[in-house]
Amino acid sequence: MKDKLISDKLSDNQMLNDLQRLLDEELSKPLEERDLDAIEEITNAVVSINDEEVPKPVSADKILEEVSARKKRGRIIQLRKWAAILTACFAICIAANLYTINTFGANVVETVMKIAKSGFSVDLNELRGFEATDPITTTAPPIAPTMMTATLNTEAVTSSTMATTETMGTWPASGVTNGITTVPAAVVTTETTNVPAPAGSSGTGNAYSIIDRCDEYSREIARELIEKCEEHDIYPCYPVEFPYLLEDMILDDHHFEQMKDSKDMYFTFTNGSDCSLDIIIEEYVSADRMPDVLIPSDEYEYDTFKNDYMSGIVIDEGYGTTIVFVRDNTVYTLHGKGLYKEAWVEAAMGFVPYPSEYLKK
Amino acid sequence: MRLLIEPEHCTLIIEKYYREIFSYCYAKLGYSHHSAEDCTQEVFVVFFTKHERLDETDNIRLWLYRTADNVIKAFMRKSPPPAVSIEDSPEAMDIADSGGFAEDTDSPLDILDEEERQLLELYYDSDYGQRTAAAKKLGITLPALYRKVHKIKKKLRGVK
Repeated sequence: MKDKLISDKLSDNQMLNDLQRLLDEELSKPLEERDLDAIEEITNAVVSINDEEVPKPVSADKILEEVSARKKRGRIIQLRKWAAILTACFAICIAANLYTINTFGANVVETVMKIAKSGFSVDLNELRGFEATDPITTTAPPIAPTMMTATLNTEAVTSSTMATTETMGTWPASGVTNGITTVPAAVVTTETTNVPAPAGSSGTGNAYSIIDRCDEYSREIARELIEKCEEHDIYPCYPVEFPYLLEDMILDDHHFEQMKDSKDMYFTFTNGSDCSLDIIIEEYVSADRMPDVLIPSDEYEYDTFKNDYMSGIVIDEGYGTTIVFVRDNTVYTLHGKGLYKEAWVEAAMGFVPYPSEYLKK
Repeated sequence: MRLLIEPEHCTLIIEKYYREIFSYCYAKLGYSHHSAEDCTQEVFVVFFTKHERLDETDNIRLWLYRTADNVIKAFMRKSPPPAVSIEDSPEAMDIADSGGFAEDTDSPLDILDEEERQLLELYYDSDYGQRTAAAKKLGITLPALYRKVHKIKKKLRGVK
């Protein structure tokens, strides 16, 4: 035996090989038929033979914290990046959209928005090119996928026309006419935001200088957005004016993701009650990498808004409002809950570009 | 009846199954401690993300193993281990071959008691099938036998 001990060098390899073999035998069975006690014993032996210490269990708090964070992220991410999954829907939607354009003349909104089965798809590049001088438009859906007949198209256009004529009301007394909620043009044009002249300082990491431009309701959110984004060399649009209803919003969660084509920041702000605002900022390496995006929605109505710097799309579903706008190669998605649509639109309109004088040269 | 998983319940589940799931991940991930630790944590996060409530009849243990399989698969896709076989794994070899003694050592077996000598003889004088049968005859499982042999080898390494 001494000879074997010498040639074996007291190695445990043979035993580990045997245990792997035993484990493989057990794992080759269907999951329900596996002997979990046997598996536990085998793997405990593997750990023991390797003289390995089993680490202390991670705390439940830490696990549940991560679970909660993922759920929030999941909720936000659900709003975005569905385009690939719904390619099939797009074919129908694009066809429907083209039909409308060819028949009734170009409609800028309809080139941007397409109805998919479970929401709106947004062509972000088109949204980016949305001219700030275009009039505010509120419209019924261009056409539902299942409504691809000439008769029904006519109905869609009729709704659209009626909706456009309803844009003359004054906000916040925005009207609900013919089932279509409108954001009046007058308010939208008067609520545009002007960025004050820069104070003259330069360099980056100047969140505190920049937020001097913000009103008291938007300052905290602006500071968080700028500070967190600057850590990843993202120089985002930020709010300089917010409705007073959002004054108590504080950052509840945020994280960064480096994607293949983009740098993404996710923020969740809450006010401690039922009001929450998710902000997703996606900076793409170039504008042509921006994907079509689907916004899940049961409603087939949407509004647009614009300020001096960008235009966006508003989708309201009663329990939440989603707003998407694009500035250069960066897409902003705001998802607000707990307040009326008008408040979220006002918040979105308060966004202005990051001051160029602070950009890293 | 469906029960909400409260934090206390979560703690109990983690404490009860953590070691088992860690060992499983460790054995399936080429004996990498850190990979196994990461995957084990992920298993519980995934598990509790998907199970806010549990039926009384739910087999938590089976769910955890199934989740572990999925997590390990995903982990391997992202960062496959350099080698699966023990012989090819330097980490495993370092651990397993850390002992041994020279030919001129005097009677290393003298430090073993009778039972230990018999177990060692049993181990060295048989193949896999014979060892399995012998373990059964001794009223223990093969993994249990191997744990005993490992302890004996460690003892011998101590006097090399």
